[in-house]
Amino acid sequence: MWLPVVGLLIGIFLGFSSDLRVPQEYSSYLSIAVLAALDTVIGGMRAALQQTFDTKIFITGFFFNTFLAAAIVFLGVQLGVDLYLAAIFAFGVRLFNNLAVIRRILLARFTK
Amino acid sequence: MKNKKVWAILTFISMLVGFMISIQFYSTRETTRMDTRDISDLRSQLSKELERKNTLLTDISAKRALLNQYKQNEKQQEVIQIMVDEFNKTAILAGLVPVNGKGAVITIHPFIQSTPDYDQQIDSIVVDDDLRTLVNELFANGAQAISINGKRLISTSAIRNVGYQIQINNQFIHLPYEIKVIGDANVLKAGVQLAGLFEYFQLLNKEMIFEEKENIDIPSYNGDVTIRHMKPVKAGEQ
Repeated sequence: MWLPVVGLLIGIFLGFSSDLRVPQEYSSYLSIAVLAALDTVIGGMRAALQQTFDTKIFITGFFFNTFLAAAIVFLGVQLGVDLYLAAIFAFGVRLFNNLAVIRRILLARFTK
Repeated sequence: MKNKKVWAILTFISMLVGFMISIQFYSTRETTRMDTRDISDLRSQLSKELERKNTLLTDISAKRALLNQYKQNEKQQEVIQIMVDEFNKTAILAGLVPVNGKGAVITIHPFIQSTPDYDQQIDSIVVDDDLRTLVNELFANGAQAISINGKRLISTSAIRNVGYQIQINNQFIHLPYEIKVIGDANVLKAGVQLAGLFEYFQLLNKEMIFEEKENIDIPSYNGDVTIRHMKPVKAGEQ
């Protein structure tokens, strides 16, 4: 259960120790991609806790969601509409939903 | 078993997410810091930067001027060096500096067995012509510099009789004559011999001795050379 959190910390550490920088004009893409990836991971955790985890769905979801989020931002930039808000909204709502489900599952587990 | 694999995948993906987050964090931190300045701040900063740019520009132009100066100086130095070299060469050729080199010393003195009642003045007569012939012969055989009794011969030197005595560069010289020559001693001797000058001076009751020497000092011309009545013709003026 705690392994993903450890992995997250390791990833953060790697990112900080690496000298990689995203140019400013692409940082909005990355931020949405991060959000999408985070949403996928949380969703995956929920699925794993609910025993409905499917590796194929998870992996394709991860990459597809990330790519789609970036694509939406790109489209928004091209159209002059802040489409990334849609992505943020969608992912944010799902993130909270998933987190709520995970919380309930964990609560049920610990109070059992 | 399957559960473990799931968590491994989740861990890997969350590692990826963490990596992205930290990069994003870094990238946005820099941009947000830049965006927090207000317009007066930006203006003052801009004016400061403009000032800095101006000082840098003046700096550059000053450095450029300096560079140009140095370049010119270098050129001038070269020209000066050439001029100095030329001057030294000319000074040597004109006889304005003492020179030193290989050559010969020719001494002309009266034969010792001259009778006591012999007229000293007649005895001493070596006329300017004789010395001129000798000097001419020496120059013709490659003499580079000649002095007679310490009088350096230059391009305007005259050897002439004044009464019974000989003047060189307007100064009297007396027997014995010592003629220092810089040049190839063998060639000089051969030239003098061919012209029959040894015999000629013998006829005048004088002994001429030709000594080859490794190291001869010839003094500089000690008069002054003033340029009058002439000026150089510049190239292309004619």
